[in-house]
Amino acid sequence: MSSAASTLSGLRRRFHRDPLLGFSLAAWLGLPAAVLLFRFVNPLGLYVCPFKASLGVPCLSCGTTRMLVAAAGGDLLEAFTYQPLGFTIPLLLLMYLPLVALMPGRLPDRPRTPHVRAGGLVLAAAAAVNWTYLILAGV
Amino acid sequence: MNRTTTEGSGRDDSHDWARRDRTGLVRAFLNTTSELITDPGSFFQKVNPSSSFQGSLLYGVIVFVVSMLFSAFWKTAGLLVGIGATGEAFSQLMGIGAVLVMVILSPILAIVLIFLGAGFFHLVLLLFGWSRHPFGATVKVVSFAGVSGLANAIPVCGGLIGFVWGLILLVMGIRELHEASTGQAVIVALAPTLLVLFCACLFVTMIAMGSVV
Repeated sequence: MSSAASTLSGLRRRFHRDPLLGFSLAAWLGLPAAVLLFRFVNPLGLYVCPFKASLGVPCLSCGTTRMLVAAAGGDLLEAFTYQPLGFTIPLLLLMYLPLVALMPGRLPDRPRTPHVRAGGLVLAAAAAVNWTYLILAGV
Repeated sequence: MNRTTTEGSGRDDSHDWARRDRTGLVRAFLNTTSELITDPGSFFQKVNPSSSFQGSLLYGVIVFVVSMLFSAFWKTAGLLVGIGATGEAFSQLMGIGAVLVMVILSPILAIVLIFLGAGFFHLVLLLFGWSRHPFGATVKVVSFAGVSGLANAIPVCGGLIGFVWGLILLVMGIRELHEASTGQAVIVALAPTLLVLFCACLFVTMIAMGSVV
């Protein structure tokens, strides 16, 4: 009981410092909310990407709505094929909160400037690979 | 119970929202909103960047839900008189089930958007090494800057007014709570807009170069 209380207390303190934990909480709240919303609303066909409409190639975020609708329908593999990066990032963020709770003190207590710069480069490279995939796959 | 302790920031939370237990929620909300409208610079100087952000998150959620109600009201009114977003798709989107779900989900959506926004702005601050206080300070700035959503009460141009007002509040909040210069705060607040502009430039360059057909 005291262990659970100390884990919660540690998480609360960490929330104040770690923006990644904020992103993780947003994923834990937002993804179930999106799944629930897409049970009532079918957003497919409501919006046409102007980038794809004018150039004929998908933009960086093309496939996200279809990914969410497929995920809401329980087809995770299809969801991944629509937007691999958009599927992977929320998944990693979902894992971050339990990881921090299970391994207190093992991870850096907050991201620092070098971490953010390195993470930004990795994210930019991943976005470039993802965009190439979207263009080649014709998403 | 509000935490108004000072943890190395050199100031206490001395604004009305931090005293809502004593003044009452409605009065504290009205006073805080009034001060954010009339004198935001002075308001942010009264915010302790190191204390708990739960109270400010509550304020952000309340203003978000209220601004969503204003927005839904004008959209529905526009639909009834035949202006604005109309058509089958919008009617389908605004079905009674969808409206109910959106109303129920709006506080969750508010928390999600506040954390995403604050996380993004804080990462930009960290990227440039301008973060003087923890993530909680950025959550406070984004939560209180959410008051700009109340501009949705103004029909037609409320969204644009709210956008500009929100940017001004973000600049003031980041400047005061992270002890940044005005220029640094402007860069951080405009980072999402600059990112979109960068993508637009990329888009125009691709068209100009004829690299894709």
